[in-house]
Amino acid sequence: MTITSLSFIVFISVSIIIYYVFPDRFRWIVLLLTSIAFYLFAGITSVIYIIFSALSIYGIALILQSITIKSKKYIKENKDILTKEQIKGYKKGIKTKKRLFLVSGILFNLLFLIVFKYSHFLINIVNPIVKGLGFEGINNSFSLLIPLGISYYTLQAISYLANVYWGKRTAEKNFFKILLYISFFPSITQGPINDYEYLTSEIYKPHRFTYSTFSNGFQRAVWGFFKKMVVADAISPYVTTIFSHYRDYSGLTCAVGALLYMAQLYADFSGYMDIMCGCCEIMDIRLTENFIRPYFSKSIAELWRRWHISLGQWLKNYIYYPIAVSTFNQKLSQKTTKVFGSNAAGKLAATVPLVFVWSVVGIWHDASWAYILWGFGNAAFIISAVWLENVYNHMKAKLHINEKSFVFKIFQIIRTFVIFTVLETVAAVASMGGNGFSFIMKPLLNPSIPTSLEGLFPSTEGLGGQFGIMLAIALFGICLMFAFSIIQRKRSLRYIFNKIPYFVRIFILAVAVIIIATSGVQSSWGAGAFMYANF
Amino acid sequence: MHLCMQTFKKVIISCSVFIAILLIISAVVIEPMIQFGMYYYCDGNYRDHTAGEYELFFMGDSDGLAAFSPSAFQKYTGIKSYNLCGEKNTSTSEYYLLNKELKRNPVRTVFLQVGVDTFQRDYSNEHSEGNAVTLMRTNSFIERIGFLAKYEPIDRWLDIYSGMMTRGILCWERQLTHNNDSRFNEQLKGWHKLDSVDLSLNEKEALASYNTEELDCEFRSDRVEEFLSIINMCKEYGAEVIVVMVPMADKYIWKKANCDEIYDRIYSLCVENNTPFVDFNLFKDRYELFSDKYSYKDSIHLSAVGAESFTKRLAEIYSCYEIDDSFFYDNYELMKADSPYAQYLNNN
Repeated sequence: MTITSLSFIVFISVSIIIYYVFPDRFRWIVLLLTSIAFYLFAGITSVIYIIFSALSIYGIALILQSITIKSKKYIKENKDILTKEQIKGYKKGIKTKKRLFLVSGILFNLLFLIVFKYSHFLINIVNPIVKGLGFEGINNSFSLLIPLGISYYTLQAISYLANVYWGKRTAEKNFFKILLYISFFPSITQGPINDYEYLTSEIYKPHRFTYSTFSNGFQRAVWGFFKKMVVADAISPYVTTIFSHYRDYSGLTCAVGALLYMAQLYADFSGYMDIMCGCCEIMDIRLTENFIRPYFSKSIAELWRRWHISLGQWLKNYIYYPIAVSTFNQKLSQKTTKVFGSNAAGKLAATVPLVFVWSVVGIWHDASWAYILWGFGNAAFIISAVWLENVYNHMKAKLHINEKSFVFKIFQIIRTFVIFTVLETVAAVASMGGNGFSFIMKPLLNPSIPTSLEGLFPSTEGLGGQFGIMLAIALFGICLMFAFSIIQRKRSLRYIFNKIPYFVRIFILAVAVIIIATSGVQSSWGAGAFMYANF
Repeated sequence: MHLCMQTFKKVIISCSVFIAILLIISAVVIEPMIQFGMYYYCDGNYRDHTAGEYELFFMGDSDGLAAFSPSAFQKYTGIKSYNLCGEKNTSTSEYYLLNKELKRNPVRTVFLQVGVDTFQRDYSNEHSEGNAVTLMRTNSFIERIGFLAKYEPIDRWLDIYSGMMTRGILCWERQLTHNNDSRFNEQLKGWHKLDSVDLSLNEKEALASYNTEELDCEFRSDRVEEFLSIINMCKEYGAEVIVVMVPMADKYIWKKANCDEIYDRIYSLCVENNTPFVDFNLFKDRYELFSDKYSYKDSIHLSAVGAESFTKRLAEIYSCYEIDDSFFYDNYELMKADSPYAQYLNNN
């Protein structure tokens, strides 16, 4: 069942009605059953794996908590008997024991992810070595159906375990609430990656069915469907054609393809978010925002604080900070201070965890060298900004550049967008079997301008044809997205839309739904599933 | 509780207004196309008024839609007939429409047109285009809902809606630009009259394309079952079924290496079910009757000129024109050997 199908719309509508029919204290059960039902559409094996994951973190979290409680009790009861060294040794032993359980839980969940998502990639790495040693290579022709949402719920499972380990939260005693956290269907296919505290605070708070939550949620969902089906799906065939056959097209066509790809990427991902956030808002549940106008960022670091925000938060909390405060990083920092000074030490202390973070980001996005290099590409820009901060400040002072000036901000935004576009398109073209670097060089090496619109927009069958019209509507949709982003800097779009007269508002929504059901449905025939669902 | 009921009422009213606006806009776009017959196959009203007049039906997809001219058939045989074909007709559509017509207008004969891909078509790849056409050929809202509920899974309803809205918008565009060539014409009795396009190959093209492609020969069991159910349904209404394959352009057959495999499979299927099968591509005078120069609109659709020749030949067969195996090539390869393009092969 795809999110953009009529059966999903019926499914979510019925779910929302049942949700509100039940009293507040039972609504979480409705959400759990709805999530399981959603999973069952993907197949019984998906449900089984998610139950395994939930069972593992439920059991291990309870064990971790039990160890913590027992150790505290022991120390309290025996603090008069035990020496300081004995208490220290005991605590160290407890920490080791807890760490063992934590690592076991993490590895158990990661094992499924590695097997389903990375086995082919790993075998392709290992096989040349195995064959080089004279052995027969490992059979890589098997196919595995990746369980729905495994990339997302695995991260959620790890975050829950880590928080219990650190004592930031107590272990949940109700297994079904853990299962709901792991399987919560609005965020399972493309995020957001939920923090347990935040999600449970939203799920278990009192919910009121109000007209504003209904209408605001509905508007947002419609906008999400518009972005996904009318914009992203209409652009997808053009981008695929250009990326797959870039050698046949001019540099300008490739540049247009790259820009359209960025629009498609944002519309696809944020469209999904809007659909799910809208549906959850109708149920008076607020999901974490995952995008805040990312293409208006002034640096790559800022972009990743605005793009896929929940992933960035997860990486910061569970990879960056633990590595940053680790003994290894602290010792390295101390040694560097002695040799190069505290400034360099601080920068190195930030660099080491960043390298780890971006390795994980790359491999998480796709099991391919293209995306691993993409991750390092992003890391290179972020790390160079850290190391060259003083150089940049010096240059700006020399050139009398006013950082706060409008022109400089525009320059930063365009620069960041171009860098991000280059990184994304190189990876995307490489993942389609092409050479990403020769793709991005095309505008420079072949700056010719196509003599027809067909050359600029291949496979449109002429802009007068039906597909050309869908592309034109998609381009209009891109202009709308851009305009809304500008407006949202100063004012809430929702506030502006709700000021429009009632019948005009409903008319606009009805027209939007018709455009989605007409142009959007046909666009989605040629497009694939949600892009980030593939991650 | 009172607040909750008020909210609920407001939501219901808003939803009702929303749905009403949706339906009104959709009706404005779609209904005129159907009610005023703005497409050559939007013929529901006309068939309602003329039900009971016909002695023969021709059913199939777009190949048959362009091939069979009821007025020409009546000219040659005196028999009133109707072309029930539709673009991308599915087996579901064919069964549904034939069942409806035979119920109110029993006939002696049904010509059932098949194409080279009839038994291989995967309807899930066609996004319900054929059934969208069938919906436009119904003439009541209740009937359309009934068809959707019975024959189309819910996930494909949006595909059908999209198809109908697109056709409705195109119709309005044609109306506003006074280009009415797609308006339903009662005189044509369902036939879609197409212009001729010269499809002739030159020597270079003929040499480059000979037997370069292969047709998909994997017959789907569901398509075969549906085909047989149509034949059985017609027989239950007392109609004789004759399966026909309409002529295809020489240039199309020229490049396909395995037409015989398709022919043999369809022939076997018909023989097993005691149903006559006539492949008009294999008539020995096909190169005189159907020329790439003026008989076709494209590779598989006859033009008006080609349709006249086809319908005349069909009428001759139907009127007990004495034919036997000597009128036919044994197979497609022998047929191709007599093709005008064969001279290029021989010269080289």
